[in-house]
Amino acid sequence: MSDHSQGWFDKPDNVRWIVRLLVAVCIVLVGLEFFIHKHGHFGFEEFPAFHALFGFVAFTIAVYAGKLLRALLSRDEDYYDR
Amino acid sequence: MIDSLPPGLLLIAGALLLPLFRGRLQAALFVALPALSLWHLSGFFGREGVLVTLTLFDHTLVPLRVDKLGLMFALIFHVVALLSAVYAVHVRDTMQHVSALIYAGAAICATFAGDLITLFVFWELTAISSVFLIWASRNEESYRAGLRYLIIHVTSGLLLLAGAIVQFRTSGSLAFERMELGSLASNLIFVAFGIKCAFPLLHNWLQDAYPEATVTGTVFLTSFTTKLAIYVLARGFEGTSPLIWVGVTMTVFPIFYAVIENDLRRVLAYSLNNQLGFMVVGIGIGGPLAINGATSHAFAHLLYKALLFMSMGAVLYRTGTIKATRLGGLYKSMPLTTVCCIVGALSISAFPLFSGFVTKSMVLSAAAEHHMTIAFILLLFASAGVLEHSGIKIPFFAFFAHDSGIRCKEAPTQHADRDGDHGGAVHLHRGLPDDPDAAVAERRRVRGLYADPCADPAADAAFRRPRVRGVDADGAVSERARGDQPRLGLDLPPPPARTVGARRMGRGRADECGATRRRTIAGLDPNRGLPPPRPRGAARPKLGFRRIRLLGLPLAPGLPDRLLQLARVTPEA
Repeated sequence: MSDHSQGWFDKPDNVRWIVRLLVAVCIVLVGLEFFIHKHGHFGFEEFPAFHALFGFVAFTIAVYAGKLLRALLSRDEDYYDR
Repeated sequence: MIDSLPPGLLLIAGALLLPLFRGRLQAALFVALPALSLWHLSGFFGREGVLVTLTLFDHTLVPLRVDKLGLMFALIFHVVALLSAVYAVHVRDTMQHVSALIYAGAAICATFAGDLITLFVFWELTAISSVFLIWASRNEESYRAGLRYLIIHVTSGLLLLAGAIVQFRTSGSLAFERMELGSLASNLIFVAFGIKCAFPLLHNWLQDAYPEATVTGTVFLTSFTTKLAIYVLARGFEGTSPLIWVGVTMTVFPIFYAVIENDLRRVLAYSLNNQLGFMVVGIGIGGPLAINGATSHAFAHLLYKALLFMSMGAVLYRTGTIKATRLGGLYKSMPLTTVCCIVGALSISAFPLFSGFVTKSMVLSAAAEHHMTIAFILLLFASAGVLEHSGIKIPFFAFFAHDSGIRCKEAPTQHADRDGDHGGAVHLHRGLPDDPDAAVAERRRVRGLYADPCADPAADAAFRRPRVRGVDADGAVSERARGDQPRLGLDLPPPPARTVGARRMGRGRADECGATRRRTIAGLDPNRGLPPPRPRGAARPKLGFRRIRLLGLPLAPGLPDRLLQLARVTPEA
């Protein structure tokens, strides 16, 4: 049980391929938005790549807000036990 | 006769019989009861209407009113109860089994309640039965969290009762139908529902108590209470527009807490809060699309949330910790659990072809069709947040990230576990192993707490590499780290430097495994929190003794104090 062998995801090459694949999928999906009508409920949804950009911005906000909140709120593991 | 028995009562009645059985028979009954009750429920499809009325002190109560909304929730409650029972069947703890089944049964009965008094009875029963799943962890933290949980939920019940009484005095009716906000009665009932539904600022009990419950208890807890609240809101307050903004707030604010939380089960508790928000928005919008969206989101949510809690429970069970900073690289040891967790993560993130994609889109479409631009954008933001903390953070930190060095076994199949998987440990009823470490591990295991990884040399080696500041519950190591205590002359690991990971942790508590190991090294009692073992060869307690200690609790005055004595740790010299 105690093998310390390298798993498939420990090899940087494999991870690099996954990232490349994801980037390719993202580019294709965003590229398609320029050619396909989306029938959005709101005008801003019709804007090409709206969901991709919105997702990116939302994700960035969540991550950086987390950084800020960590600085303000984080406590040691045993803070409430002392 | 059985046709007029509300579904769920079978579960409650069967749960009360469980303490009479033990071992495999009890386990079989534990799984068979939800299946039996599901069969019982199947007889009610297509028989809508008020089926049973009772007269109590000149008041007419309706314990069995069947309609599509109630049936939908009763069905998914049954499915989840059955799946959770299978997940928990290896646990040898009568108290947990009994309270889990009563809890599930009460939630199911509540979905058929046609009047507020019947609803109140089952509303309170869910609170009282579920708190034992929290207390079943049998430690100080869970005892305190459980009491806070109980106080809040009993308050919710009292508000419901007060609302019911006021409604009866003003309108003369106890019927549970759609209400309009504004009258005293409906406001009281609304707040009662809001507490159980974890509305913003009424939500703390959820993240406080759920992660303190046992591995299997948390799976039950996350299923019933809050979804029952969703059901009663859908029935009582459909189309109540303030709910839209309450729901939107619920979807957005837990994201930020989930992002900074280190306890992965607590991350899931925040994400549960966020998911409830989507359902509340749907109820607030009202109309067929929104209500169907809220209900189907509850249906799908129960399945994938239970799956996520089950996979995190399996990690906790096998590794002894659920802290993001301590885990990582587990995909090598637990591939099956990894796949299950990723399925749950994709569903909750509303990935195409997974259940959440369909149901969450219904709520978002309903908001869009009512031209609620700001609500729509905030819900879209919340959906991205779910992907961040539940879709990526949970599987990534547990199974990928940096390799924590932990090598454990895959989550046990029930059969393998029963036949003494886990370090050659044997069943409690066959006597404890001679090796004290194995005995401790076994006693923790049968109680469903989780195995002590110290029993596994590889896992032990991983824990020997200190990653966070010493956090023994006694404070022994912490004090030593501060340098103001004399050295104990023990072979304790050197006080590790405060790591970045340690700074990142939100609220938390001493990691029990680390504490157990340090206590073992320090020659203290690693067994704290558990009742003393029966000596080998000693006679099994007589039936009378067992009966007095029904559900593992002494039926004596001053129950909470006695429970505290059982659960709390006696300070060691």
